[in-house]
Amino acid sequence: MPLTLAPESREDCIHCGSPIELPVGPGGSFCCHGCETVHGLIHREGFDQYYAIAGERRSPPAVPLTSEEVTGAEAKWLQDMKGRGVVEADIQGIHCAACVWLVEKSFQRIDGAFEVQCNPALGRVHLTVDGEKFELDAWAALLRRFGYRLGPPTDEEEAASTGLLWRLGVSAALSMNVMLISIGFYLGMEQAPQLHRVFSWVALVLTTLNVGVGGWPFFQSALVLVRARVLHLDLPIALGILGSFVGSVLALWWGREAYFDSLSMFITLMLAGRFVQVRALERNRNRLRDHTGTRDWVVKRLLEREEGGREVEAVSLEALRAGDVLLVPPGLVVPVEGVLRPPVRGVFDLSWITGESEPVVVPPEGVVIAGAVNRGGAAVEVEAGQGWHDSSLRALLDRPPAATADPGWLSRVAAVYVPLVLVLGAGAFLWWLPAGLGRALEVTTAVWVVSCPCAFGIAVPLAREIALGKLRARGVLVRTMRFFERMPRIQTVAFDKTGTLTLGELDLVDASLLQDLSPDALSALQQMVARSEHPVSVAIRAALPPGLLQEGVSTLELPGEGVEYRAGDVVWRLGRPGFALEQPGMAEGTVLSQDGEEVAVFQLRERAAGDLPDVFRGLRSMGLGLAIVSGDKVRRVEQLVRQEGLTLDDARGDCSPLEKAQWVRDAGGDSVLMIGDGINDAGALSVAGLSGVPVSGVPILPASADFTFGGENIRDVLFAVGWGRQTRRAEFRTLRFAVAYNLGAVAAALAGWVSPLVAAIAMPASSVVVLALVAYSQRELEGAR
Amino acid sequence: MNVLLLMLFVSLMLVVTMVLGMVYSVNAGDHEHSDRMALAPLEEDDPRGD
Repeated sequence: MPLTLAPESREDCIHCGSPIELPVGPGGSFCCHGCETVHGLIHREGFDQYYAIAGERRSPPAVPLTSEEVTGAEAKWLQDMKGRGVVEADIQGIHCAACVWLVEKSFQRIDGAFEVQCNPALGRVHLTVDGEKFELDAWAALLRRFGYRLGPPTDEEEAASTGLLWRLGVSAALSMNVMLISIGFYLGMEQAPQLHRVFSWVALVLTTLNVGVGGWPFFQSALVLVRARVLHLDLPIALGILGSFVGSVLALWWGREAYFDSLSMFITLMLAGRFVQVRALERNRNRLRDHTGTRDWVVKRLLEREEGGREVEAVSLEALRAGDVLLVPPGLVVPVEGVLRPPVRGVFDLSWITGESEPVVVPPEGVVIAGAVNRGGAAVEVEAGQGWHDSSLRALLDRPPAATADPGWLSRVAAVYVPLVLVLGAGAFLWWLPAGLGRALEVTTAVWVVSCPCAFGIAVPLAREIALGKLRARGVLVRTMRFFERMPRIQTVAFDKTGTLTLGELDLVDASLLQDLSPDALSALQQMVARSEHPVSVAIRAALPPGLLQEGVSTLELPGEGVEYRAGDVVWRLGRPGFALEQPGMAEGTVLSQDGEEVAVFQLRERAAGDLPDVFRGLRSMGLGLAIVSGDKVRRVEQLVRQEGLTLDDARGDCSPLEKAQWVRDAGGDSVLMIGDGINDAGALSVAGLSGVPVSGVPILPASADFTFGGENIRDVLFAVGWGRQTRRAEFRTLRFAVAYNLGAVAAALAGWVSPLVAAIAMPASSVVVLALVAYSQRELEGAR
Repeated sequence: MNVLLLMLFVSLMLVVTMVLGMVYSVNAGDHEHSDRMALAPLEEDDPRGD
């Protein structure tokens, strides 16, 4: 039976459960149009159970995809897969069990579907179908409407976490058995010497296997790092494992007590920490596979046929040559500089190139710059003036991802820790040598066992995984570990304006103007705005009460001027004063006119991406400096600052990409967090200490950002900064405990008090305390939020 | 004491079996679709019965 859940409260989106900043849809129940569309589709298709399964754990805001967004590679793959009985595919956009349910249910709706195995972690589906009947492209189209994207499987190497997982499983099994055997020793097995010897050898064999299987990733990594002359925390871990193992083997040989159980548990715990860390990053990267640059982009090229007429051919960017004529549908990007073919004029959005929020009108034969987005109501033809290889856009977009060679504070700790432990071990050996070689080795082994860096190996990855999980649930995807390293060093947050602080959409400043209109004017306005996709029309349409559209009515839209509608002899116009009025005078804004006489003047403002004042207050309360560095006009930046009542340290407009990058450098470079979405921000993003990119709009920059967020709500940035800083605090708290514990434990070991039994109790106990500290710190963060 | 040794041998064989099973399961990718497995009880007998 279909089941629909009521929203938790008026403030939460029915579809994704996010708090609603800007109500959308009937009753304002949605946070964005994407959620509204997907919710409608889920309901229409009878998949309401999705919400019951998802419960509180909903997906980030949905973005339904259009057929225009199918890349050439995807289209070709869909064609190639026709008739196949078994299909392996990549699927993007899966977040939770409900997504899996929805994917499977929608699959079963298609004729010829047998079985689907969906793997949300890797973003894979394995399909078994009746090749004759099953229409893969129909299923792919349905999935796209839900916001999932089906495509060819990427030929990636086996995920690193899979290798770690089986090592972890084997290591855990071996450790448990070593522990079980060791309990016998602690309970007085000495009284049966023969059995003691057998048990000791079994423990040795199991531990040797454990060192080989579980310790290998650490040995491998330490070896690579030593060769590269980098001190990393893997080095003390590898040395600790090796030293403890050799010491324990020699101890067994000389009939002394060995530390096999402590060593085995240590290896298992370290592996668990490593697995958690690798897995977390893999998951975030899988989410962003669709933002891999321009490889899959296709453009539509117009070809003159010999027998007359023209045909449209989809070609990859690489195949684009100067002189080709491109067909650019509304909403798509012109990839190379070119000339607009007559007779039409074009309206292009350059906001993500120059930061300018107002669309630009290009006359016939005018030059269209690379990266311009067609915002007109119809497709335009552009004659390419250059090939893709010469395009300025290519140089910017195919930039390699930001370098992640930051060694981080853990490595700085390792740089001190490694020599210290080595010196202490050697010191202990020399100190105890007079008491006999065996005793000296025993104490040295004890020093190495207790000084193994458990806190760093497991607590730090765990704290980061918890933070990554919380951020992921919110739609913030962290892509590099330097996010945690650098966030505490950030002192200034710089925002781009268009597409970041504003959504590129407009709102009516005074919607009450509409109530004063006569019924005829209201109806005329409705006919005009309903048939235009210009941002001004969209804003007025959203503010109008629902009304009937008259059939058989046609309106005329003049790019860059406005819309005209004829009702009998009466001419209604909506647009620039010069277009709508016979005598424009000093009027500013969008004018509605009847036969050239002013009826109403609408003022519009840019729609902010959430509650900016509140977010800015939050960031300032963390002691951060705030700035807007925009490519848009100064007056628009000032208007936004005034409109939202923002307090800033700097607000600049008319900045070129170079000026933006220079601003970031002047403001401290490494201590700046740059948030921007446009190609004009690319330079600033790369010189900033950290970069965040909203994934709405043109989805290309995220490939080189440190983190990405939903884009409809700038509050996500506050959330990301908060978790980044607090996670470091939790890590430091753990570090303080670890230092105190290690000082005490090493001192005890040097004094010769740490027997294998003491180590077996102290080491897991310290790990438990460390984990408890992490859990406590995270709870504290939750409370503060 | 022989019984203890026998038990040790049997238990180690059990461990080996478990480890092999686990490695097989990991390689088969079972852990990758645990979400799907968790939903198995909700499955209807006839997948197209709704």
